Parts: sequence; C-alpha cells; structure tokens
Amino acid sequence: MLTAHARAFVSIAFEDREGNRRNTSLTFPFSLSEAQIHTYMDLWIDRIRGISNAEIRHYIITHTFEEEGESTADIDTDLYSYFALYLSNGSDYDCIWIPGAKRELLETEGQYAGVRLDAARPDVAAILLGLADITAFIVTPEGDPFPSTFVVGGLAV
Amino acid sequence: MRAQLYIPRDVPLTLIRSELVEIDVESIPFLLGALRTKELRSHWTSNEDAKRGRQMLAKEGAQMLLGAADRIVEAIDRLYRLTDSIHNGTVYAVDGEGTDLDPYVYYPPMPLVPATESGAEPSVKFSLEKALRLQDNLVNATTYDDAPDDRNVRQQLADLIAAIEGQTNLDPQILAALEDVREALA
Repeated sequence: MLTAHARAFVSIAFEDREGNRRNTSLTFPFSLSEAQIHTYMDLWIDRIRGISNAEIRHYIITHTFEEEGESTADIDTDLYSYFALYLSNGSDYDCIWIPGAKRELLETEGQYAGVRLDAARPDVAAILLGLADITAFIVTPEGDPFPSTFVVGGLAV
Repeated sequence: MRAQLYIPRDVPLTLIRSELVEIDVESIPFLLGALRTKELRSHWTSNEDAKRGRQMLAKEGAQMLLGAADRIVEAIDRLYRLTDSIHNGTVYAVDGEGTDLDPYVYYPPMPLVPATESGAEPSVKFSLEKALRLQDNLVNATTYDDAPDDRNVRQQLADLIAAIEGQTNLDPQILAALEDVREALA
C-alpha cells in the first residue's frame, strides 16, 4: 500500500575522461508516470549538459514505498533462513531466494526431511504453481526470460 | 578475488562429464547458502561469466535437491531383486507409479544379509537342493518329502542278482537271459 513516504528517485551517472563517475539525483512524486519521469529526466540532462563537461553514462530509476501499519512479524520469523527455489528450462538454471522461510512447509519424511519444500502438500503445490505463473513475466538479472520449471521437493512444477 | 569461468570449448572434453560425490543431506542448506554468495556479480570478471556462473551454481544447487544417486541405487536394487528371484525364488511385488507423490514401494523389503534358508520353488537354489535330495535318496535311501521311497537302489540290485543266482529250474532260454542280466549288473 502506498504511503506518504512513496517517492520516485532518479540517479544519473556522469563520467569524466579518466572514467571517474559521480551521480546526481532527482526525486519525483511516486504518482508520476514512467513516461513523465523520462520526459523530466531528459530535460534535466539537457540542461545539465550546458553547465557540465561530463558525459552521461547511465541512470537508475527507483520507486520506493513502505507498507502502512504497525504489524509485526511472527515470533518465529528468521530472516537468516531462506528458501531457495530453483528454476530450470532444461538448459538454463536460476534461483529465487525467499527470506524468512517457514520451516513447517518442509518435508517431514524421507531422505530430505527438514531440507526440501514439501511439494506433495496441496497448499505448498498451490503456492508454487502460482509462483510459476509469475515467473513468465519476470527476467533474470541479465534481462533474459526466466527458466520455466520449478525444481522443488524433487518435483518439476 | 574474481573468478574467470572457463567454458567447455576452452578446455579439453572428458569422457565422463560428471562425478559422484557424497554430500550429507543435513549439510545441503549450508552448501546452497555458500553457493549463493558466489552468485554475486563482483565475483566474476565479466557479465557473461557472471551469467554462466550463476546458471552453473543454480544447476548444481537444484541437483543437490533431486537425489542424484537415487537412480543408481535403484538400478542396483533391481539387480539384487533379479538375482534374489533367480537364486532364492523370492517373489517381489511393487505398488505405486514411480512418482514423488506415489513412489514405487517394493515388498518384501530386501534383507540386510543373504537368506540362508532353502530356496523357494522355482529357483536355482531349490532345483539344486532337490537334485541333491533325489540323488541321496537313490544312493542312500534317505527319505525326504519329495523323495519318500526308502529303498536303497544298490541293495535292490544286489537282491536282484541273488534272486537270479538262485534260479535253477527255469526254461534254459530265460535262465540264459537272466544270467546275461546278472553279469551286466555285477
């Protein structure tokens, strides 16, 4: 949920002849559309060129907001405990890390008891199927489509 | 330190492209966490190396959760059941569909040590034991469930010879034939 703290930050990197880089930043309202942000950023860069010898190398747009409310995490929450969800399309592999693992979702029987997600549980399987739907729309850190198949609990979801 | 990822075209190909290592299941979470630290871009000398390194580490991590040796162990178990059926006559059955949700369950379970009791019929062990019993019965008149005749074949032959020798008033042709039999058995 958006709060009063929601903002859109733009950081622009300048580079000199020796390759040194320094940043300048702008802050916009969160409600500004991406197209508007690009328009104002381009104007800003155009004006900067008149007063700076540096070259523009890259820019980063960051949207930030905080969840409203004072709710606190469950007493068992441990952010040092992760779930590692491995994905594969048969040739490429990737991994999604989820902090604060719920240990009660792990297998309780067999060789991997206490290690793997229990994909045999209907509730866990439903979560994984839902995640698999979303991975079709996200990309790897390199910008490639995500591998398509979850490898969890010895199952391909 | 930053890693340079050598890809297969840079190094000679080996016949065997993988190796079997023993990893305690309990240590897998910690190994996966260690692999994660090596996924960072800063560990690699180029974006391409970082991408291939991340994929390689993710592949190995995923395989740690798939029980890589299960198929090998299962193949060895199938060979044991085959040998056990041939030699001991053990009859195995299986339930399930071979999936994680409905895995194969074999019964009876394989014994920790080879069975010492007699083999069940049909089996190599049963047939061999039965042949030995029949031979013992024929030669020594030892009786068994499947060889109940307590007559000793050698004694039977001796009795037959003695009976032939005692004959004096039979037809000469029959007597001559019996004499030939006696000489053949003597």
